[in-house]
Amino acid sequence: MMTCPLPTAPRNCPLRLLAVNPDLPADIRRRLAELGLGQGVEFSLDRRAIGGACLVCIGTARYVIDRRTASGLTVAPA
Amino acid sequence: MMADTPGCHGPALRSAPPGSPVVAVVGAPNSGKSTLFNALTGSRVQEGNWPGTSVDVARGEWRPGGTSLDLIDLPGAYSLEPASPDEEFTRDMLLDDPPDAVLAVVDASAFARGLYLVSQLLEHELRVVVALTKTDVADPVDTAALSAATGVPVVAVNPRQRRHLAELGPAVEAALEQEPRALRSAPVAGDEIAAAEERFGWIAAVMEGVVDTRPRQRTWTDRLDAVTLHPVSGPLVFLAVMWGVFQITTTVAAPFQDLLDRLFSGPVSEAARTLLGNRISEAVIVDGLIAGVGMVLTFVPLMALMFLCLAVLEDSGYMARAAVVADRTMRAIGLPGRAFIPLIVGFGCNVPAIAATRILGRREHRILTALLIPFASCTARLTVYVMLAATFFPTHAGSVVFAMYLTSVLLIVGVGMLVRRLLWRGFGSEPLVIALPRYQWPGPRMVGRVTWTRVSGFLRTASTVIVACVTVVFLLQATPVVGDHRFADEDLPVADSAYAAVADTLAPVFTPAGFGSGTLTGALVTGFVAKEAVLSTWAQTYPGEDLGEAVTRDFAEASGGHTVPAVWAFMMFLLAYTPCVATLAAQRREIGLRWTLTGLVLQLGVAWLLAVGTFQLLSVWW
Repeated sequence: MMTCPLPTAPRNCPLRLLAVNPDLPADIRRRLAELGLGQGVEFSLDRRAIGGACLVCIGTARYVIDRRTASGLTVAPA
Repeated sequence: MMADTPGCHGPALRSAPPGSPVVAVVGAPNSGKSTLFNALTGSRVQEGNWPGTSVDVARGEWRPGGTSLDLIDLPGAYSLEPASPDEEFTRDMLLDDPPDAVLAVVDASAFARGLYLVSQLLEHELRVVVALTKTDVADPVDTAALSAATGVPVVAVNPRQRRHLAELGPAVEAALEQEPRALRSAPVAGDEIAAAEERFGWIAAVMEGVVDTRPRQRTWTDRLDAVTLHPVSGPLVFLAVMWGVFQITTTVAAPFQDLLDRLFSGPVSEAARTLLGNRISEAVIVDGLIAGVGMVLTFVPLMALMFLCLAVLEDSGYMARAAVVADRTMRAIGLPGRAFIPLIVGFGCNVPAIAATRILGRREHRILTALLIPFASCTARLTVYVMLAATFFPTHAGSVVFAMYLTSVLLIVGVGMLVRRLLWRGFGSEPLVIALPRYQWPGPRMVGRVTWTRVSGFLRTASTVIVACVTVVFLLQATPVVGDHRFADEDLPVADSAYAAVADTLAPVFTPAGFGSGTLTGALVTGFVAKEAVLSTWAQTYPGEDLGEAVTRDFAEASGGHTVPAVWAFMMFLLAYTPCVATLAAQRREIGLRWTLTGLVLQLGVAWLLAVGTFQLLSVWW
């Protein structure tokens, strides 16, 4: 299974979150988990936005994650 | 935290009869929580700081059927694990002194996220009722199945259109009859992230059969975001939207302003003169109050339009996109993208903007944002720009005003970088993780209410600070300090009054900026109290004269003929110096006296340097 950081993942196809970099601040890791971006969750990368940020869709909710934080998310095609 | 935090049952800010059951309204930011609160309480609302804290809370009476309920609109929170002082307040209010019932607002278009807070509420002994909002823009939700899966009543409502609100009352009243109990056991996982994942496991099980979880079709929100968040078109749309706002406020408001101006300087003043007859009372009422307050009131249409535009942007969902576009710029000054929200509120009014810094988690970010907000050009300053731009640049007034706002943005970035470099070299920027609401047509009722709340806030200022300023300016202008005139003599020249003596003392400070004239700088003194007073002070300084002609003459004389550079320098000073005493009070409350004084020195220093630099540079050409 091919894994990659979220910013380089293919757009508009199902992805699975494999790991969250433990070097990301604890409050951000917790906030991501509270928004539904926990390990194993299925979501998609809608597009890359301004500043290299990633627009992701989890169910019907949409979030923008800045490039640096998104780089700390390892994903694989679901 | 906060042992001194009063609970929901505290007596202050109460508009329902004492003893009424307390119902706390909670939900994630942008879930429609405050819209629901407003729809349920109507005008029976008190807003203000919660006693013993600096958190703004609205509390109102809700009368479903015959019962009176005391409804509290708690600050928005994604979870009960606080990441900011506002979220901490919400958690404490719910858990330290639980309300009689909790109305949990869940945005159906971000269903799982809303259920996360519900999952935490169900772990505590609380009576919970779920209000499902935004069902008109979300995939269908089976409320009966959701109620069965969660164990609490669920009511789908549309507070924007005031639909199905009547069904909420019986659900809450029925819940109040029950004993409060925990419906879920807390996660056994030790660490917070594992606990969150465990809760999402429960949410996934709840969602089975409740909502269609198949991949959704692309919507017009997706298509719009492709433009508004695009690396190239995103900033262009942002600039175009902001430019449009300033064009609308300056051009659409102009005929209404003229109408009000003619009304106050004509029929209202004439009627007052006929009724009064006494020279002193005529001077106070007609030349003072009517001229001053009338001048300020002519700007109400302009302010109303500005507030209306901001409310439309907020309600439509664009403001969250603007925060994403601004994030990169915010990072340059070490602030998170979320700091854009208080800053953009500052373009309406600095005082609530400083209160809004509480959405930021880190104290350094709150201090830096609160120090930068005074450089966000508020609508009170807009009134002066518009008057000067219409007088000196009549064919390009909109562009001149836009240039002032652009300068304001550059000042925020420049001063932010400077302050960060000098004071907090160590702190890094905060990551951006922001929820994007779906675009929606702005609700006229909601937009109207927000606009009216802000305009009435301005009118309250006009009726207190401005009347006080107008009276003080009148007394100073009526008191002779040179010559043989008596108090309030009709022919007492302003140059012989105590007002001129005070203003002339300050004037030399502004000579290098090209406006070292007592009549021009006097307005900056009252403008320190509130920017709304600048024009009213000028109106009193030049009684019976055309204001445009009078200031043109003064700028020309004070600048040695370099009128245009002096006007730009004046506007630059006005933009950067202390917005009003209310802003200083808000800063003192949020960041303490030491930082407030630091900010004051910063504002005055930057304003003077900017004004002098502008005049000296531009006077080379003009």
